[in-house]
Amino acid sequence: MASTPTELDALVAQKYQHGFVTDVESDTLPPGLDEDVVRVISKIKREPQFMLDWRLQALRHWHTMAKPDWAHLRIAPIDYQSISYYSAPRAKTDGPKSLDEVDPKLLATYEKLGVPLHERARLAGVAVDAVFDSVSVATTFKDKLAKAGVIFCSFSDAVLNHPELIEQYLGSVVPYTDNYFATLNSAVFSDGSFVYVPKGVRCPMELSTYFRINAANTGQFERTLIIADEGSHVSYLEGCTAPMRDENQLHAAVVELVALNDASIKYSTVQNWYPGDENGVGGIYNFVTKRGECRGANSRISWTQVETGSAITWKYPSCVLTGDDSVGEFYSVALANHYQQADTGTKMIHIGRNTRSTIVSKGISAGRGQNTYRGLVKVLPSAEGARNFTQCDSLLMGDKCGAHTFPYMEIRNPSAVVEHEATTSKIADDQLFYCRSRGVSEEDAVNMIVNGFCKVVFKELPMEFAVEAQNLLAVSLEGSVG
Amino acid sequence: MSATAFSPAIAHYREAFKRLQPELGGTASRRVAAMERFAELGFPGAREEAWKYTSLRRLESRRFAPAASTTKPVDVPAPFVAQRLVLANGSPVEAVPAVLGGFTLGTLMTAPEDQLLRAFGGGGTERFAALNTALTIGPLLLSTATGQQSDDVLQLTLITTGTGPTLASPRIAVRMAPGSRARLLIDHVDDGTQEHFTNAVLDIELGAGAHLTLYRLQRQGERAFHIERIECRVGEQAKFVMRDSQLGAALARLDTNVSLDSRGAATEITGVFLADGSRHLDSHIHVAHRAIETTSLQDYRGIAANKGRGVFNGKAIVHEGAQKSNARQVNRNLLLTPGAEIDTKPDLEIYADDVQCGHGTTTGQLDPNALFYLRSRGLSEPEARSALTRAFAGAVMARVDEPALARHVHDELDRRLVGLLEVAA
Repeated sequence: MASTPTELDALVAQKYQHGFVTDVESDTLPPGLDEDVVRVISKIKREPQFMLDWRLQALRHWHTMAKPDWAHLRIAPIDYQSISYYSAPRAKTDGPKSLDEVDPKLLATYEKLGVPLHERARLAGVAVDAVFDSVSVATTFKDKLAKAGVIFCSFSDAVLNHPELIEQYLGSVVPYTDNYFATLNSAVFSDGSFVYVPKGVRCPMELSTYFRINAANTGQFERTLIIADEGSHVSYLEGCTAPMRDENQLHAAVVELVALNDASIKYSTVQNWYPGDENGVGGIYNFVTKRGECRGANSRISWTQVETGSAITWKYPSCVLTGDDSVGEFYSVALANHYQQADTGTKMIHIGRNTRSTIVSKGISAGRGQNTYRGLVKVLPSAEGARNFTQCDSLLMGDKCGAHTFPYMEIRNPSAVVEHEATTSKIADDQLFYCRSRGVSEEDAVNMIVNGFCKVVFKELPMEFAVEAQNLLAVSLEGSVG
Repeated sequence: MSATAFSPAIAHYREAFKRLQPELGGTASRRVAAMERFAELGFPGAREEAWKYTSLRRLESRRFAPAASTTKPVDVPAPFVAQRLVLANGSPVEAVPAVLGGFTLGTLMTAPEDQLLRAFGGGGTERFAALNTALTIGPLLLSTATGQQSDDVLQLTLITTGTGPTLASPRIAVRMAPGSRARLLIDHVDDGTQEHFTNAVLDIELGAGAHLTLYRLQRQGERAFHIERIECRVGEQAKFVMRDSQLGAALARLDTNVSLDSRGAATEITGVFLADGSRHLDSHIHVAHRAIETTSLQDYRGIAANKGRGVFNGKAIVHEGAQKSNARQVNRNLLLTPGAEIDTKPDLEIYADDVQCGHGTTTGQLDPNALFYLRSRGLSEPEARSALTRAFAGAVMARVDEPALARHVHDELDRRLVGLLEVAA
């Protein structure tokens, strides 16, 4: 595959587009982690006692845990004492009451990122909760959502205003003992989003959160909790970016979803954290625990993710299919270019009768990227009539990258049907040749083929995200052919 | 490490080794080093990835006496082919002929020790390969001459026997010279009187253009523990073919490691297992593509019923530079009754881009439409189920081109399936 080297060099050298730093004053805790730090975070948040107790329990448990090392990843050691566990844009007053009170620099930041935060967002029809470093800075369309009875607010607001919901559901899907990073998050999480959709309500618009890490030496530990009550429906999107910095920054988030009877939750992620430069320096460690429980009968949880950023992505959005006839879905595109590493996939735990799950994973490896699909399909003896279909395909671009597949299947019910298929290949020379012979440039041809490869996942994304995802993929892959 | 640091099981085998050592042949230091390696690695813990689905707690709790000298076994099953050698607890029961079934045979008295007692690193069964090196009493070397072609089949019947719980450590090394061709059938049995532990090692090397077909039948008794490591290195344009049938033992673990070292090397590993009763059968296959234009196929069919559990972990690694490689994995499983379990994990690790790799795996029950069709043709429920189950295994069994063996496996599957399906229906 030949192309003019100078052109490609220029493309390879193309910088991460969201790598700017916003100069806002922020209140940042000094680096370090102990019980006092947790107490301070809890105090700043004016949290009720049960939250502080929960955090401290988590921190104590975390100290007893060992760092996991089973993933197919090379991770430079993380010094947890050198991270600052809380950073917030300095509040002018007590906190912004409306968008007008938000620091204009912050708004400009979101403008640059293309986040439809302002009123013009009405056109986009998306309600946004923007999380800057660790703190939620603004939530739009609160009124319209409130009319429908939907609660969509920052996690801190939810703790203050709806403590009974938090107490009931927090940690009910991802307990604080779950895993090393989820436990750390439970101790120090600073903010995030909270959604509650009441019985029978179809959320009138897409909900969205944009996460941005800005300050240096901070980790971002947000927590998202979405509860879809009986017969409700909600679609939620999240996007993330970070400045370019030479050190690795840790992002250890937790997302919990609960779907009750007949409810459905659609959760879409376009993850574009700073991936490090072309020599593998810097970048975000994206170690996230995402899990949804289909607690009620006929409920449905669908994960869609496009993972193009982060130096290391290590996450498995999962579904616990407890309710009878519940459905879990996982659609993923993961890209690893330059020195990026991704170990991602899903877990589908079939517990209820006639539970169904679908897994479609598309991995793209380029440069020296390493892309791993790791998934678990577990059918318990109670899951009469369970059904799973898994397809994971890998595309290799270049002879220095790697594509790996580790599917685990544990089947304990004879009426279950579980199927798994995987393929690994490169872009076929004849496909490229055909496009080239039709006058399509090599870069465009690769983009077309990659988009075709990922189409089945992109079509699961809400429209505005699908466009963004396609563009992201094109940018991330530029220069990887040749 | 002081002796007090060892677990009771490890201490038991170390002491048994010390007692036995004077009568074991070969270099003492090699045996001692192997025993220490086993002691260092110990029995696998519950959190070890290679043993995720197979617990050896039961095996560890038993105290088997390592087999010392040859005892004439009772009731050796009839051979499948004309040329056969019987090994009791790993040691030949009769004088070893110089040539048999297309192979030249050698023992510790006549063959180089570093061929017979080679050490293997890595993998979940390294510890047991080391234990085998320490304790094996009659390692056998099978070799071929350059260009030697044979269509004969040499059968080795490996029987584990003893008046008390016995640990047998059979070890076979196969060296195929360039351009040679041979067939080998290994039949694992035991005397059925006791709870025995068989810890076997098969060490194979294929020179350029060589071709070996290995038929493997594991039909040990209901109480047997069986652990086996097959290590195979395949040279340029050479091919290693394995036809595996796992029908016996209470707990069996097989690790097959194939390294495709040179251009054009190929392997084809197919097998069938039946985990009925409370049998636990675990097959690990690891194929490493280390050179260009290498090809591999793994195709396993598993049936689990009652409280049986089948584990399959197939792995294909395409190393950097192994371009134009082709790796295929297929694993199909049938769960016949509630209570049974299948755990399957077909892994691919790919570090080269110009390759074709794929795997497919399914786990499920018999197709209700097919069952209905056969019932509508007048077959009883058990007959219909049996026919479909046989057909399921048949896709792999059809590749077993040694008729007497194929017939035996078919009959055995039939016999046990009919019993199973009648209960299920």
